Amino acid sequence: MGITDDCAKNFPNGTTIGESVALLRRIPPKHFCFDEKLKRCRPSSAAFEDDEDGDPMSVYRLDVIEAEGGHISRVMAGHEGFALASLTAGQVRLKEQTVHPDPLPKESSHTQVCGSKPKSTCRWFAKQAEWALPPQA
Amino acid sequence: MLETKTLGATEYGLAEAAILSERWLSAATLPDVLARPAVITAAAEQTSPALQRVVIRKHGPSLSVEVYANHPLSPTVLKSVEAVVDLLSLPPGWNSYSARPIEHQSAKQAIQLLAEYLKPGTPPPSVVPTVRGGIQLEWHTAGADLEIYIESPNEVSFFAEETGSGQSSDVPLSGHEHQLISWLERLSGK
Repeated sequence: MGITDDCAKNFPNGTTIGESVALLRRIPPKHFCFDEKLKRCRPSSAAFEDDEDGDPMSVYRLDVIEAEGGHISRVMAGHEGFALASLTAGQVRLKEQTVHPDPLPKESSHTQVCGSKPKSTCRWFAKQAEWALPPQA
Repeated sequence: MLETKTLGATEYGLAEAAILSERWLSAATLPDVLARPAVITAAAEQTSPALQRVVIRKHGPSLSVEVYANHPLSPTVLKSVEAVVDLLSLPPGWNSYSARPIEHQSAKQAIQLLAEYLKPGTPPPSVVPTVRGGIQLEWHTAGADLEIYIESPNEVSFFAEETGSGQSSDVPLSGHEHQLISWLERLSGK
């Protein structure tokens, strides 16, 4: 299928974003699932769907936060009970997504992950994701 | 926190199995933080062998959910229904991005599926909201993964995969009900 024309045109890959860069996604408590096979809580596949507003999935780049001397907790402000999942740019690109820098006035690390996200892709992201900030017990 | 709604002269709690055994009627009212204007009413009667109907109504700032069953619902079903009802209070943007509130029709469909397909011994699912207003029911056991996707009442599908064999299904529910029953039995260790 490949990268969609819309993503290639409007949300092109950030060429300076290396494959190992960690992309952080806030996960709401309703999206925590216990996986007996993994013997741990992980995000539901539902946590990696695009919203219906047409915008690609939002994430935050760890390398930008760290380069600014910040801590990942800054993207959690006002979101009590949420956890923070991490995928690498290389992982999402494997699933034909672009990783597009989209700094916001309030959060310079904001980035968009653009591409078709069938449920199989969302399930794969959910199983690959690691916790940068795990759910609180 | 789930509150209760007065029905007739008695207050019924959704999890009160004893009352459900007597009346087979359950209801819950919860604050509607969304203040959605629409009044959502009756689903079709006899929607499944297990349920007569599910009714979601708006009462000013509150929302009531009434579940009329043909037989007492198991504790697992009740707990899962509570989880579905709980999702109805999610405000827009509940995922911290742009998620939509949960559609009442999706909630009704989820409750009907729970009542129809969860048998004694079926482990309880994770009841998960989706960003587009739908609901997922998920099981991730040591032996298999099963995810039921309720995008709308007419758009229900499921994915299942067995750990050892890698055998899987990724199909619409309609026409594949027996496959779903078979997967649920595997989750139950049958």
